[in-house]
Amino acid sequence: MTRKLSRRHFLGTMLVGGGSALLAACLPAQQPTPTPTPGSGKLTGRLTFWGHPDHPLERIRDAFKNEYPDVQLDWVLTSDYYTKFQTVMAAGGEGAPDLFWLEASDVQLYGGKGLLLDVTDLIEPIKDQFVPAKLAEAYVPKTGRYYGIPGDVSVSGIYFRPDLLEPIGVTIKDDMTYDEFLDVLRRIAAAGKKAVLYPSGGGGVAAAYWSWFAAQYGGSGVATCDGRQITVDNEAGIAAARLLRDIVATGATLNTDFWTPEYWEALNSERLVLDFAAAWARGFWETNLDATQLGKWRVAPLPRAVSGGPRSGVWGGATLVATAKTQNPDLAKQFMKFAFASMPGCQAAADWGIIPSWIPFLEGPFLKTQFRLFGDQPAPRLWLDLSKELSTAYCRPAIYGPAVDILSTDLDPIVKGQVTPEEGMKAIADKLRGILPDFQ
Amino acid sequence: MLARPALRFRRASERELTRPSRLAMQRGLLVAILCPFIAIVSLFHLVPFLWSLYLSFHRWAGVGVPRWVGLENFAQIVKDATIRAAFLNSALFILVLVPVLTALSLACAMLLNQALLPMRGVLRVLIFLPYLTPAIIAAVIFSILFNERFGHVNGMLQLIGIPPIDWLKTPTGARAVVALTGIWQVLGYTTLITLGGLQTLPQDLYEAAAIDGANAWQRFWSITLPLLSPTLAVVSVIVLLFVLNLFLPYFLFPATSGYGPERSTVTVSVVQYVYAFANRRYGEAAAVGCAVGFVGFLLALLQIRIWRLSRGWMA
Repeated sequence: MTRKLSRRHFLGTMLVGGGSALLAACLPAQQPTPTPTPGSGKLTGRLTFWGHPDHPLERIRDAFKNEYPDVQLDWVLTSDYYTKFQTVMAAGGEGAPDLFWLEASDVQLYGGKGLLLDVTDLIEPIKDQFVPAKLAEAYVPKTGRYYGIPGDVSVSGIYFRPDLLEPIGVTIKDDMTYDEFLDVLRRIAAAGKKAVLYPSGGGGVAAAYWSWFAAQYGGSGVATCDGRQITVDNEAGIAAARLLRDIVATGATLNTDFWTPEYWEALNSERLVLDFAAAWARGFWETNLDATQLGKWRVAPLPRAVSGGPRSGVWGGATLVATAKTQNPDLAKQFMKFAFASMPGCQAAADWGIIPSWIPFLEGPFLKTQFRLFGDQPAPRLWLDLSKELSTAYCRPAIYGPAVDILSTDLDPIVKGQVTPEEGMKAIADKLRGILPDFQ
Repeated sequence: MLARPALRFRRASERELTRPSRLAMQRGLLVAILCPFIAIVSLFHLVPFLWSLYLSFHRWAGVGVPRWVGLENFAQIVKDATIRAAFLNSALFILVLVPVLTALSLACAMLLNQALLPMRGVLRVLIFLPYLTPAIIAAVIFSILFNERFGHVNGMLQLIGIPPIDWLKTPTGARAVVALTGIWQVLGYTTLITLGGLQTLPQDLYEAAAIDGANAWQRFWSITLPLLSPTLAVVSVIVLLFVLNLFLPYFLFPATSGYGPERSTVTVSVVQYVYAFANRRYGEAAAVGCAVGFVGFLLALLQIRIWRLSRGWMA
């Protein structure tokens, strides 16, 4: 018996079918459960990673594939990866990649909400092998657990040109105070040269400097490490703002945007003779500087803010995490350990240009590294020493993200002398206190 | 010969179908045709819009449960200096760009409509090309052009004895660069729309006016402008929407996330993006979005009303 298909049935079927197809398309593809087999070369399964194009994890992926060829590693490298990741995490983490290169403040945010894989069992036995300040970024005080493996050590210092500074009577010492440094800046300004980038309005650069200084004055940064109290307007915070104002007041600072063609031109034309920079910036400098400029630069620690205090600060630097919804938790941990707690992984990362925070690597192969920018200076030794000095009291809790944006605009009136450091930092703190409950 | 079977089929079909069933079939077909569109609009516009509306009454950092705050996010529009600056800057750009771009579009369209203009086709393509340029490329081009030290604009100014201007580092200069980049980017599109409107105007009116002795200005003022006013109304609304979505400063001033010197270039579009995706202050960003949508809707209505009322051209 043949049954005639009514129009209503047809349309109904089409709608249900279409709707199902649409829903299916929106759902993440189910991955087969991995079957990691312990033992070198026998590891199997699949891992996904999202990151920006030309990512250090590419090199590490290749090194991992050499060791474990049966593991499938799907790396999706796009410029909007962070927004995509935020969106997926906002939806509960379903469909997120297995691995992600996460900013320190977001480790606190997502880790505290249970959206990241707890890797305490991986970190606990080897935790003494990491730079303490960087290890702290993988630790979430709220839960008392580790949610990632420290990546880039992100230590910072002063890049300077001794050949251009010595003729004007300026020597950059490895141990100096900020008062001495301010005098250095005044002399550079008097010689018609530029030192230290400070763009119009301050921007992220101002926020980064303030964070260093606050840590150097012994503060925890924008908030306490558990993220419960805003500390931006405490003694260290105000002192940091005052120091920033004094640096700009020397008249030596270069007013251009961060890493624009004008910035590189200032370096290449030997107008900008000194600047604050992170260790990881070295690769970008080598790419953008003329060949004739390479080898002439040297690196020195930041001045001390207080006697015996740290001579460095953290600028950037992410943590490698796995998401809580990963289908391959064991494999993800294997990869994390390989990436930043093994010689081949750390070497691959270092080949890209970042400095891993795993001390056996830093004290081993890293010390033999030579940088084209710094000529024959043993810069790796300095970075290692500075990384050990990094303040462990300084933190980047979840509120750090919005705090940076507020600092990047609201420090400028202090720098320009429109408000006192006390008033300005109090106003910033009030803003942060208003949004603090959402970041706990 | 070929038409006969089809004709028979149609007549048979018409006999079989009663009027209500024909209507039902038409309705069903309509629903089937509209379904994909409705699904897409719902998925990508309606759902996000409702979610934004919901978020605008909550505080949310992108994880966990949003926290109800009532109208507090809307109060932030007045209290928060950056959001306030974004609204003021956007208002300024609307005041400048809407009349300037509408007038420039009309001028360019009239020029490109001249039959005697050599290489008219090429010029039409050339004026449209910037519209196809991504905002980030436009920003790179203009930031180089207006660079204080090695920008071509300052180079040309120096040729005529004017000292270099710090375009990108002063509030006024930065706003001027944003406005000029915006004009460069969207002028081709608005010109094309205006040109389309111009070409629909009846030629006999111009011939009659010429016979009556009307000069070029009188023909423009009494024929072109009144008849073209619906098109110009559309153009002005397009420019309004362009300004409300103006994201160029984010690429022009990346170091300050598009805020520019002293927050002089932050727009409502930039502040929404930065607050939501950099600061994770989704509630405030959503409130800004809702307020912008509402204000934009009112402004568009007002603009069309003004165009209709002006000189009674549309009456």
